Amino acid sequence: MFFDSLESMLNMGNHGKYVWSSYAITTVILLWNFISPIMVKHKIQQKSAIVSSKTIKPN
Amino acid sequence: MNFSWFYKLGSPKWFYSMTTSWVKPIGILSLALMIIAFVWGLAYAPADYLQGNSYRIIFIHVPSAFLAESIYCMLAVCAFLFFIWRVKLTDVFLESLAPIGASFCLLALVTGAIWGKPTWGTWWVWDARLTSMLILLFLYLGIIAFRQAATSRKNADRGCAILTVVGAINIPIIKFSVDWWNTLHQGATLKITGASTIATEMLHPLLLSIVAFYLFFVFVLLLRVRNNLLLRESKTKWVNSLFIPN
Repeated sequence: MFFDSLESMLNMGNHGKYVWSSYAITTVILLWNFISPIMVKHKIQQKSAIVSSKTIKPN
Repeated sequence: MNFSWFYKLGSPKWFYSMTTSWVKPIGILSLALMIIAFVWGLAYAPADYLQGNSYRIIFIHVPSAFLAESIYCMLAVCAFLFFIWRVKLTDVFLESLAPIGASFCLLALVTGAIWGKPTWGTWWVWDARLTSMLILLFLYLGIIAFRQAATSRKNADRGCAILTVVGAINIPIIKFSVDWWNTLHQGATLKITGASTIATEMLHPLLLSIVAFYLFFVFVLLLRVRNNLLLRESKTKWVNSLFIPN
């Protein structure tokens, strides 16, 4: 490992706030990219379940 | 020459069933590679002799900037295919690519601004590279807004395709802005022809991060394309058969 301790890794020679905030924003944007289509898929499934329950006649 | 594979590629049903087994492995692989690249870049790569540790933003800034530009190139290719062959899938890709491209463009701009503060002493300068990237973000937002404002899906697809092709002129401007103008932004770190101007210890995690970001892009693109296919083909037999309970 390049750093001596966890503290020096977090601090990164006073650049920690820039580096860690960049990675935090990246995580948020990557999560948004993942979660938003999952939510849309969930809505499609719910809608299709309602439609198919209406169209399929019970025995 | 047999072009049946090409027409098959344009079939929504064929594309949906073919990609079903791809989504999960690509997602897991991209996440695993991203974790390795981030840990490698943040904890094990050496500090830069000039920039210190702030350069570690490179492991997210460069892949997101690459993606922002290449997604726009893909949009332009889809727009061309849409006009020439009217392949059904191309308009689905046009709709799915724009929000992903916008998010990576925003990420490149924000991480660039954060990196700029300790390196240049300012968050933002109106130089050629930064301004052309900002224009790219506006192009993405314009395409998304046009689609939402259009009165019909047909108008939206055609309008977005025209807007995309016109906006493609910005891509070579972004690429060569650091060569054509005297900018604050540094020149290309990675070069396809010639040696890269980055130490090997930094290059390897960077290349891994780029691969991970591209895999993640394929993963989220498949999620969006598959959703849009279901929405557009909701009245067809093959989509309805997917949701009939056993």
